[in-house]
Amino acid sequence: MSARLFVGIDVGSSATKCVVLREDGELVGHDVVPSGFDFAESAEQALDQSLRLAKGTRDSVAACVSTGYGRERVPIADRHVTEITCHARGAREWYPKVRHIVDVGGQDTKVIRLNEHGNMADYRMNAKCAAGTGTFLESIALKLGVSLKEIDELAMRSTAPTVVNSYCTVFAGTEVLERVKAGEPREDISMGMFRSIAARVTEMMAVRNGPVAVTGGVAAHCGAMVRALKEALETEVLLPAMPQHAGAYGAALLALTREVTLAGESGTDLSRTRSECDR
Amino acid sequence: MRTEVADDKDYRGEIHELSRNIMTDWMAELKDATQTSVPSAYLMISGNCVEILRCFDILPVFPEINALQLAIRKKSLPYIIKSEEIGYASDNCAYVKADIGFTMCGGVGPDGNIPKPSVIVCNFVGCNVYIKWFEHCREMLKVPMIMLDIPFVRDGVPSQDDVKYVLCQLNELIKECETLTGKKFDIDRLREILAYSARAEEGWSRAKELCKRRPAPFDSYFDSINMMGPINALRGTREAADFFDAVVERYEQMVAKGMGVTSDERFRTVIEGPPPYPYYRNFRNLFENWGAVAVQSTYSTVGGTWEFGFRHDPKNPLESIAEQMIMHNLCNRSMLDRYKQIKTYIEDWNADALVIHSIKSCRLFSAGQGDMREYFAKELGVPTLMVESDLEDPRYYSEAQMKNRIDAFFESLQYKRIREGEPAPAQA
Repeated sequence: MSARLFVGIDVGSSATKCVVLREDGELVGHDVVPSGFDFAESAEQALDQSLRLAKGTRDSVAACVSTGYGRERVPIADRHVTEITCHARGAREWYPKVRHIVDVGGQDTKVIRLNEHGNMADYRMNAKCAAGTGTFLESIALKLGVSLKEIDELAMRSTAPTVVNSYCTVFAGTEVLERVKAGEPREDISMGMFRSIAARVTEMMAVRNGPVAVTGGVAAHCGAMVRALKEALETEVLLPAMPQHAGAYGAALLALTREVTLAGESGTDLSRTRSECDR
Repeated sequence: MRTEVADDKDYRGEIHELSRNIMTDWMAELKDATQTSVPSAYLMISGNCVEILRCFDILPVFPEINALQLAIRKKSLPYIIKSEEIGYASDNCAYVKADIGFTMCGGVGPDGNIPKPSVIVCNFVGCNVYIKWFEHCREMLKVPMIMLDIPFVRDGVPSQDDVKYVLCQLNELIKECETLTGKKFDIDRLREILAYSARAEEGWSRAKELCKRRPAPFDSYFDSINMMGPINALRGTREAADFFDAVVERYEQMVAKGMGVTSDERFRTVIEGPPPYPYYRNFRNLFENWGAVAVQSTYSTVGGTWEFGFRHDPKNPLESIAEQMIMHNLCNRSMLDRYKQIKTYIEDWNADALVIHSIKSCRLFSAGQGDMREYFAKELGVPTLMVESDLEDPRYYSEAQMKNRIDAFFESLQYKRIREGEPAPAQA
């Protein structure tokens, strides 16, 4: 009989991520696929590949929590939890002492503050606008005719980053084109865009007291994003090994915890519930 | 613990249907008035003197209710765009824009549903944008306008001079009404009308009081809308007074049987700010999914803060009207008074959390809500969620983002329940 597995699936606006855990919490499978048009199909694909790595089957899945923008479109999920809770849970597991998490995703950017017990105390998200998100970068990269990877490579070579003043993605695009026309180096314009996102993050919430963990797809793929955040936040910035999977990892941990929580709710093992929550 | 719940048809049906019936009759009266010479007057909801108009059989017309009706029927956007085409800014009050667009398209007058008013009574309380709204209506409709200047409450209670100042203006209004209708002012008639007002206000207050019970018999934000129509549009009528007698009877029955608005009241909230009318049902569902019931709301007290004890007084007719206009309504008071009102709601109605719905196109009423969030979350330790969209303009509502914030908030409240004794999570 194969081991019982606990699955987290994060259906984001750009990518769908999956993480599979063993009962002892060991991460044994993971995958990332584009979310595309069909969220359910993307979730299935990511799950199948993750289970292959974990040497498991659908029958061995004991619990599954879905998260992200498309969390309600995951047929296998037993529960839906917001990515805010999941990113907090995933990052906390990697960095138990971290009290601030910055997640730069495709559609949303979030700053999450944890309390002294490591539980979510406060969070802020970008408004209904692409400023400060991965979509902002994609939109401008498209305008300049380069890939996201190229923008990152250019930005990492910048020596005097351009200041992009516009808050709005549309106006920032126009401003970037003006800078191109004025002959400013592509490297500096590129870094200016990452700095613009970092500036939006600092406006969301005052981040104080200790290191900040950075999660999400933009941080996973763009070293320039991490550098810009380090400069803007003026604090230690920690980048986990799998930043893009933080939400799926947190969801998988919640799937694992759920059984414990249910036991607690029925009054049989509340001490374990609390210890899990307060870890 | 699960509680017995009245089925959807039952609990929503009876009170909602009663409300719908009397509001439909009132709207039919408005429609009829487009074809007759029945005198009518534009009036604002907050802190108004509708009883004086009723005393002269002047039909009150509320452009705010007109705008609200357009939004809840998902018809507001074309009218908003129409107003923007002639120069209204995108961040201007969307109530104003919907009503102005509606008027431009012939909604007011013989071909529309709303009668062209005989007079516009601008009972300005707390919102200076509304002055411009009524001035624009005056220009478009070419009708006389009476401007009442209601002093803002600066020190918690109005001064005697403030009351005298308003009384003086009410006497002038009475003279204008006499000229308009050819009728002589009858103080006994006014006393009779005020007695109906007071009976409705008492019913409103008793119904709201019942939400202190657990489970609450109705949602004091979403279901209060059905009580706001009668108290705001029909105050001073027998119909409104009878309606509130029925409301109290029904909700008292529910309380006696232990019936709640939901089968599983898990969270009790206080909600600040108007709802997003174009997505009213969707917005409600986002809270219902979590078993969250609003046990009190500030928006429902825009017309009057009746649950704090004020009643129109037939023995002091004009004085009590003046007093209500100045201080017993939500809008004519300072932000700090609003803090006190919310704090009382949270404490006396045993709420778990505060939800602030900030209105994008109403900077005047929404300004300061960021500080409000900080005050309740950080100084009082009340879990506070702040979300933003609009009361009228559907373009500002983003369901996915709204859902994310609300779900994350209740997730954190749920975790807090498990970890008893831990500091409260704060806000979104």
